Amino acid sequence: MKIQNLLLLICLMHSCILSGQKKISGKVVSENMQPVNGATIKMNNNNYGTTTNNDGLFSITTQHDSCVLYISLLGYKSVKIQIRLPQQMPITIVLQDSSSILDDVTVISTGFQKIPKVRSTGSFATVDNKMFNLQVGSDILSRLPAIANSVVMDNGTRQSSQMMVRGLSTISGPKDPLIVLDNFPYDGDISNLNPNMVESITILKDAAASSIWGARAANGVIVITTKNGQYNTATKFELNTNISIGAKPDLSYIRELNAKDFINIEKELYNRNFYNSQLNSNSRPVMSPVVDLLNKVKLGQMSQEEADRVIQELETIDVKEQFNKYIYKPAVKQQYFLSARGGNKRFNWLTSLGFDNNTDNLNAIEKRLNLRFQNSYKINKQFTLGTSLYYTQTNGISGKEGVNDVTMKGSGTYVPYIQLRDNAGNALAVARTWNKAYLDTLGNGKLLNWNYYPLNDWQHSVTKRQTTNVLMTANLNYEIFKGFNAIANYQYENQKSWVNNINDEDSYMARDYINRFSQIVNGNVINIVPLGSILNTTYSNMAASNIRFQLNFDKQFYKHQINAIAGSEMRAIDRNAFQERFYGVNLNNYTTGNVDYTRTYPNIVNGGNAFISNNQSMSETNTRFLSHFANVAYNYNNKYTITASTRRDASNLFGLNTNDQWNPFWSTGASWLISNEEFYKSFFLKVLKLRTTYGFSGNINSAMVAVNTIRFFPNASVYTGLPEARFNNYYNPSLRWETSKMFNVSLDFETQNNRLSGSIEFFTKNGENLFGTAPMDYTNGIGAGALFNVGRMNGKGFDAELKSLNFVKNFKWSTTLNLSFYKDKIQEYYLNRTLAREYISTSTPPVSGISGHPVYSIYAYKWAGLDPKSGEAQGYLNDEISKNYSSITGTGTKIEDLEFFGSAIPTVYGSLINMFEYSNFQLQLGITYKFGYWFRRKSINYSTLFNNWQGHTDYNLRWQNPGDELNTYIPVNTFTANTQRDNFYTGSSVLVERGDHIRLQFINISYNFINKNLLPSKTAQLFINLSNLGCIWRANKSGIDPDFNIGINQTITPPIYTIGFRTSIN
Amino acid sequence: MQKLYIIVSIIAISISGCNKYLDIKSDKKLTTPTTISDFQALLNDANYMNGYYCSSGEISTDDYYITDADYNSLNYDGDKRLYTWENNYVSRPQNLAGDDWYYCYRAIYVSNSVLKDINDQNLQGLSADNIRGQAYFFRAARYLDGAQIWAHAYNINTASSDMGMVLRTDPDMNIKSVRSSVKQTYDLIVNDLKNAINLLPTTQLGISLPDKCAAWGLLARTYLYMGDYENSLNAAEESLKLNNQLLNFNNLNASSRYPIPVIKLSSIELLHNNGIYPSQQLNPTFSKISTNLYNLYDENDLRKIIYYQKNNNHNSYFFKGTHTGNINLISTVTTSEMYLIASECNIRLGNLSLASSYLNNLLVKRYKTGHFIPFTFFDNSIALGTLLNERRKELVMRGIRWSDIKRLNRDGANITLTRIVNNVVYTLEPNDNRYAIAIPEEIIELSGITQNPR
Repeated sequence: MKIQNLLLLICLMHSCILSGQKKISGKVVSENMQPVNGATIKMNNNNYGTTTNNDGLFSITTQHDSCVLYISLLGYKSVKIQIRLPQQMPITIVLQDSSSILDDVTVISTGFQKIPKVRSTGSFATVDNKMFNLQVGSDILSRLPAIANSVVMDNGTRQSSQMMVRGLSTISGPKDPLIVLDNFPYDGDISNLNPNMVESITILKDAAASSIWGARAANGVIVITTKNGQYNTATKFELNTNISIGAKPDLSYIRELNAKDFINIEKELYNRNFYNSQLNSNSRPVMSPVVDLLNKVKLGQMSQEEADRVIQELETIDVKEQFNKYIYKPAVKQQYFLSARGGNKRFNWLTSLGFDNNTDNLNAIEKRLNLRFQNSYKINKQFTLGTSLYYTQTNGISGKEGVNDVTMKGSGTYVPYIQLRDNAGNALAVARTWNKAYLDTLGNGKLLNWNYYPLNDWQHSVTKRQTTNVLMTANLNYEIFKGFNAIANYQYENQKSWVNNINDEDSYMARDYINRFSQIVNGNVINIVPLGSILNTTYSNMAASNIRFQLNFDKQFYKHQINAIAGSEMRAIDRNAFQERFYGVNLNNYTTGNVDYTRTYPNIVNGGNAFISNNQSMSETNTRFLSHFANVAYNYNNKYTITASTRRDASNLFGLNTNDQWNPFWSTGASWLISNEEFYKSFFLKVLKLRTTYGFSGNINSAMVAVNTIRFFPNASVYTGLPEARFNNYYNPSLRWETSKMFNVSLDFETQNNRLSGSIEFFTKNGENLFGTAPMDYTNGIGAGALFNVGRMNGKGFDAELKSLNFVKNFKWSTTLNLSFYKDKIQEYYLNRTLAREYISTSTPPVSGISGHPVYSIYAYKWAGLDPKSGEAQGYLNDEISKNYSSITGTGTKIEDLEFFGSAIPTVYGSLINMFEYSNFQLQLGITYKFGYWFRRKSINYSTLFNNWQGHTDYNLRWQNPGDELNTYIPVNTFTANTQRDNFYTGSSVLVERGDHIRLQFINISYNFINKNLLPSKTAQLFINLSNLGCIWRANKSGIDPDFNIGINQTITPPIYTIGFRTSIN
Repeated sequence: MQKLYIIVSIIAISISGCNKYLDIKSDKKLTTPTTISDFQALLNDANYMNGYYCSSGEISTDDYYITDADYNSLNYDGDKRLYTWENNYVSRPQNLAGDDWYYCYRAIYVSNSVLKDINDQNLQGLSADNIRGQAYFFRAARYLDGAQIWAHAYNINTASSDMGMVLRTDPDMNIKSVRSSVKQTYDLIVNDLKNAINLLPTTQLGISLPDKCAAWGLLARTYLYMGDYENSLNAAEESLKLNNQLLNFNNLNASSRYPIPVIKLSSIELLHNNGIYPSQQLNPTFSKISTNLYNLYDENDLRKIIYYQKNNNHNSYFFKGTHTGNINLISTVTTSEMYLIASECNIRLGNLSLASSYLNNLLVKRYKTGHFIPFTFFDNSIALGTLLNERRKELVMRGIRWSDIKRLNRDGANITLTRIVNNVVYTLEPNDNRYAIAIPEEIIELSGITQNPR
């Protein structure tokens, strides 16, 4: 380099002498004002140029009066500057780090090594720092679907959303991607990680991932790379702070019946004696306020007029309005993050401090403190030592009782006309668990107040959570000789959490429990459960240690380049937990009371004898993994690369046969950088690369152990005082390995000037001997389903990632499009399920097992309309219209009798991000979309309406008179319960809807202050971010957001508005 | 290169300890059942072994009724159909609620596994025998319980051809289910109980574990159902030798919600503890005691107030004479049942004075002191009528009435059951096919076994 410089200088000097030329001189610095060595300076459009020296200085000459300088250096964003001559003073040029530029991620981190993208064969999606920071919040993973290629949240097959990378690779196994933090899988709670410490994220999508990471990587790997200190950089401080306001959830999304309709149904049921037995029952079950009133009238305890008046008042109550007014509040989230980093020649360091303070819509508070230290030290030429410490402390306090917490019968079960407070603001009592009218007569006022106040019970039943997590790493790199390194990596993680559920003596829980066990003897109350608070405490501890020895070999001989790694790792994860309950706690001095767990006591309400709940348990699990791995890449002439990798995993799965202990994985790949070929002449496509991988992975299931295992219960038998145990695994010698083969082929391209770049990938997954639950003859006594190798599946799809720079002048506009197609289908299902019902579940879609259909499919009972005479739902039985619901939902319907709609998980999905920049303003818009799938919407279920008080506004559109069947498909209210009838209707084809929708995920507006006089800040940014902005288009006309469909009282995650400030200071 | 060797050997040494490293138990609570205490722990699982005996039989009896409104409020179609003796679809969907068949065979599996494993381990001695005895008892109890639901009463003439239970005696899940005959079913039950009697001790640590007395008791019940009165009498007597204690109802507080006193959820009359499926129809909130039954009781019969209480605001009675101290019903053997069996068998065998003394010994504890006039039997058929009447009055809500109707109809009693629901009259004629209740259609579908004739 130096010789080149010298030669250039000589040349330039030579030309100077020839024609009295004008000199341009200046300095090139990085963002943190450090001199940049080796930057190329080119003038106008010719190839004459120079490079900067160690101090970042350069000079160059020209004969023109003005010229344009092009400054470039790998790893930095290129700069173009117009200069008028003669120069008044030397110019300073600041080069921006390219890591903040979207399309320049050149190195991929797999967690084992960093691979230059140009030599990779595998399939990776990367999210750089800038992209990652388009969204705000305290959580990392939830940002990915809107910005990362091939990542989707599945909200259609289970209640909590499931992140998926390239769809399914197993039916029964875990479906979560593996989360890797820097070098090792992260075993702690993912919410411990502060997003501000993330430098970039790599998503490993293909077989290359699992051949590196083993069994847990079958669902893809998400590698989180954290920010680190850098050698030879000046100290830099970064500050990031923001405040978010989360709107209140829109409770009108819950389609509960209004009070008037609900009360009318109750009145009719009352007249039909529906409640008679319950009202008179000695079990004293809870009754609704209206039924109570009606009964009082019947018993002559209240006049009809009085009752009518009260009921009329109740009819005007809207519990959702009350929730909205008195319970839900806007959420407030504050985030502060400060970091400092720097480094000299031999030492680099980073230290950061983060604090998050979140209060949610229900006033639940979570505070998180993150502290991180990281440093690397070059001990001498051969040894480098790195250490880091990451400490997290989270404190959480539970909040108010929301729509899913208020309880009359069960959690979230209450009538729509309960009143939470009176006009004066006092909390009002709501009946809970027991018949309120009866409780009022019990004990002559000697028992504790037995009322339940949903408005303020949360202040007395508080759950406090404290989690501390410490993550320590050390790594030693020993350079044996140039290009050959031995690396030892060690990570220790310890997470302790302590959950304290305190039900103070004013809490409903404590009062209810004490009252239940109270006995009245001669007019005196004897408290079997001592007065005071009831405390549940759970302590859990997790310790994980990882150690890895690895040899790296990286050598170039002329046109050949070899890069290889090999090594072994051990992982040990130990978890233990203790749980205990204390009665009669005095919170002032922490004394506890005594109870007798060995005998029963009668319940004062229903007389039934019961034991006092012991609620203590302890557990310990120890997981061990041992793995060997090797990975080699060979590149010829920067054009051709072939890769191969292999891994074997062993674990301490209890009772496994030794020959089943080792899971094998391997993959191989090749890439061809076509644009480096001599014959490649395309001007348009500057870079063109073809790459492919193929790999194999195998998986065992805990059910594959060669023994029957039993599991002991935490508590001894109340009858014998001896331990109790139950079978938890049944040895099945027919089980074989589940295997998966994955193929990936991709084309990467980049046009001249980078105006358009991206990649298109095609992949297939072939799963064989997949584990799945198959129904079986439960005469064998081990249950209605057991794990078998149930079938083969095939998944295939495309991932496309396109980035375009639409405008690059003063007004800049760039677009990123992520588009994925994914389709899976069952190829063969070894066990035929004949019960159609197995394919329809009205809560979450079950795994289907029909050849040629997706793994998760939406099926429905064929609908034959409403009976024109009675308005009842009709289906088909043996091709004839039928109302025999037991048979239709039982053995009468065969699989071929069902209507098949399609996949329950999106088959086309992705995101579209548009970024605009003008002057100092930036605007980014993120859209996500999901297409090609179906969901089952909810409707009226009369059995749950009558017995669990859960209605649905569809009720208002029900069949009432003959002729209505022409306009509605909602069945008549017969005022009788019938679960099978309701299951037929809710599982019928009229309630299946298309899930397709487009969602506006975020809008980010920012303003950059680039005033150099603005001291001490170098750069500063003010931003406003709006997220969760809802659907902008959806296929269904029922007003349902398909991502928020499963579950009772489901609401849509409300929008969040954030304002924030970022700056860096040198 | 030397450096390389050093590094490789360091790695090799650190990995070589790996076998031990992988040997650590992954979960402290997991184990393979090999020891006596492991097997005992499995049989100690009261939920599986003692809980969820069949309730379909009791639901089908005429001892109680539910109102039309409550019938209409029943969630499960199967619950409604069972109540009106429908031909098919009378069980709850297994995936939603679990059916009697499932719970029955779940306990049989544990018994079979324990019996097999304890033999494989070749464990001997008294405590191993105790385990074996318990497993035989639990298996027999479930087969007898299931046979009451899905098979016709034991008829000596047709027992070899009548369809009985699917008899599984091996835990291997891959063995195909085949229905046995009623005779084979009862032969297995008798055999298991005889084994249990030989192996079980006279006392156990808790009432959830069967002892010798309970095994004799269950054998007495089995022989009674089979019509083998000699053997039944012998077994009942053996059981009573070990335990004959009865509660004196004069000492109970009838106003209490559950007047029969319990220790650890079991009264002293229980020979062993069990529970039947908590069906909605039988829940005292809904089930009303049939007037016919209530009217059978004498004025001075304490059971009238110990067993029953008038419903608030409804002219009917609910049952509160449980032996569990709470709402849960049992179907296990009790001392009072042994007295009744001994009495009945003596009548059937012609020993009328012995018969009356067994009955009187029981009833004196059930009547107000000084108000019981002891029976003296002269006529066999009158004696039998009296005894059967007393048997019905004593063993209410015990899962016994259904079996009794079946065996009595077999012998020509001609009992016809009738229900009126929503103005529709349902009847069950004597010896109707529906006395062998439909096996869950799912099981027919999944196993291919033969459904009871419909």
